[in-house]
Amino acid sequence: MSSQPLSHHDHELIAQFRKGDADAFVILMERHQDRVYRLACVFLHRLDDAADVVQEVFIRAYKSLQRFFFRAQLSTWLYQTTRNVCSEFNRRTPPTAEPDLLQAGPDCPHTELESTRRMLRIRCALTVLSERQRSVVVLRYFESLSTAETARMLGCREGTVKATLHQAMKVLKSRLTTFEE
Amino acid sequence: MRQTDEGFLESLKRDYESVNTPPFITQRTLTAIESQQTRHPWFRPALAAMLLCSLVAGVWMGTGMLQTSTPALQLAIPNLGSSPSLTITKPAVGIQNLTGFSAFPLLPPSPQAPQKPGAHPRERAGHAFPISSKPRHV
Repeated sequence: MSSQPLSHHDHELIAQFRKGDADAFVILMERHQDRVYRLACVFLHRLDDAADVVQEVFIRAYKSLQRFFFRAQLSTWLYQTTRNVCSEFNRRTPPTAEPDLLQAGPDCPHTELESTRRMLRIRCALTVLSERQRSVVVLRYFESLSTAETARMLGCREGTVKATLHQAMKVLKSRLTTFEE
Repeated sequence: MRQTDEGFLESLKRDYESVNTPPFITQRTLTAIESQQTRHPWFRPALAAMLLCSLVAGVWMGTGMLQTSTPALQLAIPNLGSSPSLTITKPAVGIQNLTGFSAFPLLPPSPQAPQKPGAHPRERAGHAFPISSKPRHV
């Protein structure tokens, strides 16, 4: 989710924000919101709630950054908060069928429609995985985090991350084989 | 087969990376934060002021009640010495005297009670609360 120099830069922006520079928060938000949005798209029951999750995560970030102790990286904090907010949303809404893209109105921008189509494909592929496997695949493979970073974010050992990723890849490949047959 | 797997996963990753936040979210989030900020500056002080007012009003009312009930206590406490409630022979008198202990100042003092403060010998001797261990029979 973030490399070390970027994270260092995050801390500087947080320090600026604490001094009252609101633009620093906007920069932080623009830097991280795409990742928060993608994570929300993967973890939510309803894809439509992803925008609301992004909003809620950054409102919480705005309130919490005043007392952010720099014990963890901002990306780790954002990841945990995104997971928590997604869980709260999922508790309210049971799993439903994916939205029908053909029913999208004429006012729906083409790029947005295309983006949703891609995300639906990913969600469809990841449905065979458990929640832990999905988290590992998203962080380790899609977000290109190191094994150590993934382990820190998920609160487990590096060995567990490696094993879970191996199992997840096996499940995904078996699904692909079934699909092709 | 392996190449197909890798291709599938790679294409999934490319799809994942190409998904971006819809453009309206940034503005919407900032507006939401702003609206929450504008609510806080007056909301918390208003709540604090309301609590403070309640506290002051409570203390004021409590003090007022104490001041109002002081004469009643002064009237009622001398009755302790001559309280027939300890040795009730006539219930009616006992009840009548018990009303003399009441904290309600509007009730008239009992006819058996001394009509003016200082009537009791102990009080004449300078004791503020003339409590007699020896009950006086009516």
